[in-house]
Amino acid sequence: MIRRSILNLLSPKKPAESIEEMGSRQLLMPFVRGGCDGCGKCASACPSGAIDVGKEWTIDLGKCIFCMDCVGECPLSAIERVPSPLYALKREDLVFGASRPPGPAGGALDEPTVAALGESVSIRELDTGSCNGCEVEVNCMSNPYYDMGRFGLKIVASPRHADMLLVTGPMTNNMRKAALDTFEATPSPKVVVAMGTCAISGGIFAGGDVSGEGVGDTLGVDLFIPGCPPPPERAVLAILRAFGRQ
Amino acid sequence: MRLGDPIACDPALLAQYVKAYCDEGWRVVSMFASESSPGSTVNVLLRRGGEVARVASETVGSYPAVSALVPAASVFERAMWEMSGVVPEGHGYLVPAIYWRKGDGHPLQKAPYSIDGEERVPLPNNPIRGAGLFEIPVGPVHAGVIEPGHFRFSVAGEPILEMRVHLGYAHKGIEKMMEGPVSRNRAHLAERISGDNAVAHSLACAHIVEGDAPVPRRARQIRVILSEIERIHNHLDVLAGLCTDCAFSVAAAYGSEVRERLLRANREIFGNRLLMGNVVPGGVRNDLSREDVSKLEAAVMHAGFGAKKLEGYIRRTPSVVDRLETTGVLRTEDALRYGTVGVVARASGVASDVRAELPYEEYGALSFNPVSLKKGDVMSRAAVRADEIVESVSLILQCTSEMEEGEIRRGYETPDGLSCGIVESPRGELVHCADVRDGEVWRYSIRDPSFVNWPAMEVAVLDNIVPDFPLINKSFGLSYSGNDV
Repeated sequence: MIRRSILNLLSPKKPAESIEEMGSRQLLMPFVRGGCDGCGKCASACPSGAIDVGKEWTIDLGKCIFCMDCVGECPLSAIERVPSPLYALKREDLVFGASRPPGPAGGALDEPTVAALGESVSIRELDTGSCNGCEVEVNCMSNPYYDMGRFGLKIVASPRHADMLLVTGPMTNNMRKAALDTFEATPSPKVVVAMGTCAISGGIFAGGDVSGEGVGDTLGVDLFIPGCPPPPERAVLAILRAFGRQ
Repeated sequence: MRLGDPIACDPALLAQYVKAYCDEGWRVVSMFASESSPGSTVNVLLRRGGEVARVASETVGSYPAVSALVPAASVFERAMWEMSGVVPEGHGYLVPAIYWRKGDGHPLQKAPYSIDGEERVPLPNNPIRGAGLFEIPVGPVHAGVIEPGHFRFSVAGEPILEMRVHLGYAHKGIEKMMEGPVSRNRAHLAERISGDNAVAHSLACAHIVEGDAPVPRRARQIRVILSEIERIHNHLDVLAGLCTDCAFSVAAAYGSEVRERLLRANREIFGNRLLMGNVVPGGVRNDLSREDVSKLEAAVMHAGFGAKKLEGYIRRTPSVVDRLETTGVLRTEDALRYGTVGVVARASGVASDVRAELPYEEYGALSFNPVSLKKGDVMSRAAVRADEIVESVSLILQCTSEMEEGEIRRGYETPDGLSCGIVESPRGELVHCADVRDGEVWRYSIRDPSFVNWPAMEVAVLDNIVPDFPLINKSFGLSYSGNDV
């Protein structure tokens, strides 16, 4: 009896988090508002080549692995940590600089697709060679804290049952054919989501002979979710918002 | 760890040399070819308890296969053959292991090489044939949320008569990417060899980069804490996954809840749910404040309670126990034959644990009981994991109670020559080796524990029914990305 009450104390019976709770946590990204003299130390410290100091200081969130190595490198301490946007609908929308500072993400997928798919979205996760960090987080999306099933999002076992391909990994040479087959097997209309830095640009693996440069070259991507890996609540919220909910 | 001068031998005698070592109780832990003029040096790394030895042989073109005498070398030779172009003559099963590409030259040789076309070379059918026998191909896109891999089951009715694992879908050429000037920061890439084992991989990489100079004591303690948290969350994932796979949803939900709380604590304390970016060459990145330590202690204790409660759920539910016991038995002789490591080996009666045998960081100063069971079935592997979580909690608490203020980073210098980093990742013994020549990493070899454990699964599934395969696979808990590098 006593043992049981201790254990209950340790795991309170709390319902899954509300959308507000999930949205209250930020994923911080490095950003320079001003005061950069273009010395390029941050760019050479960046392991995935996300920073460009050529014309103005810009960061490509689709390449950033959120390691924050650049923050300590700046001799002028000009790099600050700011909240990153949840998602983007176009690849170029992930590049930020002083002339285009990061703000809350907006916009929804195209109207006919959203209307055809409705409120309940069946998701097929497709790993194209990720490090398995994203798989950890996709699995967490269904745990009792996020419980994406309550929003009508569910993982299905076959691409033939799916409305959405949630693609992770840089699209390795060895996975490309299987990914194309999976895409073909998914009925239209369908939505392709690139989840994580690898899927968006190849991330830290970009530039390899066989590692691939992201999903975009092989499949058309409708929704980009940055993060390395993106925490589960961000992936859930990004999908909901892109479908025009909340 | 710097490796001393090797035992040099003629390539014609390499197999006999390795066999002689193995007869004395040594085990092949890694094998890789490093290009030299005119051919390649085949390095065989062996370990017996705390002793590490290297047998090296200068080969040109081909050499008699080691696997003809030592089966554990088989998968290494397959990878060496396709990645470095060293042909093991008389190898019984020479199919590609990870690369699967046609073209001139080989990716791990220095000369330029080409890749022909987009397609992988076709997968071979299983050798077994007969009337009423079916071959079931599975993957690389699976029904669950897991990584890509291809399995071929030969079945007569329900029981599996033969299973072959074909991996390489996640092959990204990380070994090649690791080459270059030693000064480059490799920690982030190492973490992403296998994301759920980020700490172990970056630690093995750091051991190579740091040479033999020890990092500050506080950093060593924090590294132990990070490694053990990683072990807890990986083991919890497997326990919860086992419950999912036998449709025991209540326990699965409980297990994933316990794990999620730990991942959240990771984010709060270390800034990343999977602990990425914390181990850096020379020490650790983030120091722990007093509040951090008390949060950490609460979080891991909760995880420890949770793991035991979860194990209790499993043990008290006969229908689940029935699925787990006597399923997927890996016998002790097979575990030894394939050179398996980690939880898989320890559940089959092979008590091998790098933390106890070859202590690194602060492990030598801490006390823990290596867990080992004999039966080798899915239940034993689950039980080993549950018990190891408790040991991990104890290790973490030992560290936090003895922590003293101090620095957490120190300068380091990478020595030339061959060195290796051997750590106990959540999956088992993990080995990184680097051949550093004149300040350049000439060859970097990564041997994830999954690499040696996958072949053992090919025998563990025999005579089991196909619906039990997901359980067996989950109980092994192997990485595809780490295997394919």
